[in-house]
Amino acid sequence: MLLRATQLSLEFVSENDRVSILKGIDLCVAPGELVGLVGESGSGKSTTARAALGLYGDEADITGSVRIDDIEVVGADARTLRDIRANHVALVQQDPRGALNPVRRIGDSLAERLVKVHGLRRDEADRRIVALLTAVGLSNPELRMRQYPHELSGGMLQRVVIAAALSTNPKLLLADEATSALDVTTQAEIIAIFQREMRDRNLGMLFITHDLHLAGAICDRIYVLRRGVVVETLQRPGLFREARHEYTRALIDAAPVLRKEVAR
Amino acid sequence: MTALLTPHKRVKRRRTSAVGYWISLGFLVLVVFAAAVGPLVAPHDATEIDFKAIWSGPSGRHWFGTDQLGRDLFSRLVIGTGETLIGPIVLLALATLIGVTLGVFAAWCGGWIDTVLARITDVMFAFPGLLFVVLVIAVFGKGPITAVIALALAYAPVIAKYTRSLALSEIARPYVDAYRVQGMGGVGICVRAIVPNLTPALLGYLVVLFGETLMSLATLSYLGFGAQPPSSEWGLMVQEGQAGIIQGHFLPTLVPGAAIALVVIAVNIVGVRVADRLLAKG
Repeated sequence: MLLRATQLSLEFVSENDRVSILKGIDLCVAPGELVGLVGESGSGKSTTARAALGLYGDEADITGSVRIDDIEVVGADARTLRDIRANHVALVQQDPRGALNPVRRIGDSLAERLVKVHGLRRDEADRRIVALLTAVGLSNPELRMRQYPHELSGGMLQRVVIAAALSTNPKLLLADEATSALDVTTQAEIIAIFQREMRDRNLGMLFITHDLHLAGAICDRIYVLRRGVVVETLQRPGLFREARHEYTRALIDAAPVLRKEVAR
Repeated sequence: MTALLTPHKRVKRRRTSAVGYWISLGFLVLVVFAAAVGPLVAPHDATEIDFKAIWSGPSGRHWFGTDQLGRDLFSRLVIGTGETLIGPIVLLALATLIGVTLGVFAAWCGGWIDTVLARITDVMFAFPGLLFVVLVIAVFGKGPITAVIALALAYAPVIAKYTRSLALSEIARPYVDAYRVQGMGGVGICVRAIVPNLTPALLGYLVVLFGETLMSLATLSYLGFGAQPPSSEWGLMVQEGQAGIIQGHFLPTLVPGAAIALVVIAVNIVGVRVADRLLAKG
């Protein structure tokens, strides 16, 4: 199993307060599997991803277990965490513009980690990046590598970020609202890239979104999260038709749909 | 209505400040030129004593007059420019190195390290800077190098606090998380990503601080803790000229004093504008 969270709980602690964010989450992602994690704002979707990457420090009290590629993340030391992050998992964030260092060229941003963390030579790193940028459908990759993030559009930057995520050949991809900031056309293109790369690399992916219908269209399995609790797990085939929990039903009903006679 | 008026106001304000900006900039260019080639262009030597012209007024031979030893004030001023300007620059470089390191380190680590560093900088804040410097000089002896190092230590907490607040908001940005998730180490992220992103705001602040440090160093020299005779550092010139005031000779103090004031004002005018520009960009 690439990602397995067992009874994952998280509380934010301050001097005189404890706020419980996650209450015993169980979820798993297998290789080649596209798993959705859906829920409203504040339900703990992103917190789950960040906790799985060990991004929280003293401010969070985490119990339970998260294993990535069978390595325990909860309570892992800094060296183990760096190894997991560098070699096993990659994160695609919601805002691609924020996810890139604004003062560095695209090529430098992408090559930096390959050279510094993975010990590649710069020309090897550059070759790999050009290939990846081409693979994610970015035109004229040599030019893009010389440009700064502010010179590219949101859709182009999201492709860059995906290329960056794939550049170290991770086995697990965490996509945190990775397509939410994009327009529908670009969103469809990015999803297609995700699906192709997953097939080619046998990647496992945790797709975090508030868009239940998008998740329903592409995911193999969906966890519905509400206030830090997985209230329902929907499995393909069936998905929404099998939805029993009132919260899931409410979410499905809350989405605006064209009336049937119009749609047909 | 207010929204309609604002742009007009801004344009007007900009035009008036632009004149001051260009005058200040021109003046600073002159000063830097004097600092670079001062000893070559000065009409007299800084230590050339002329007992026939003690405390003489401005004339064709001595443009700004002479001091109590008959030394040419204009030449001393021009030759002293280099020493007067290099001090604050070295001081700021040192203070920035210490301050930025501490500030970024505190912001990155957070927790008890941040708290400890914050308390230390608080103590340094509460303790008067000049008094601290006098204390250091009392222990390590007077001289320009001690003065610069002591002042650098006094200014470091100011820069550390400013850097920390900038770094905190920078660290919260998603690209830092992206770096962490890529397996980059903390030091690498700080040096390669955070510090370069802080540079514009920091530079703007440093330019403004420059005027302040120049004053501080001149003050120390005036008190006799900084530059030592026969140097023609401006603060020292003011102090040496003091004796003449009782006898009605104001030029030996007025000339270097005005030079200090003008440079500080010019640096601040230019600095505020440069800081605005850099901040707007960043």
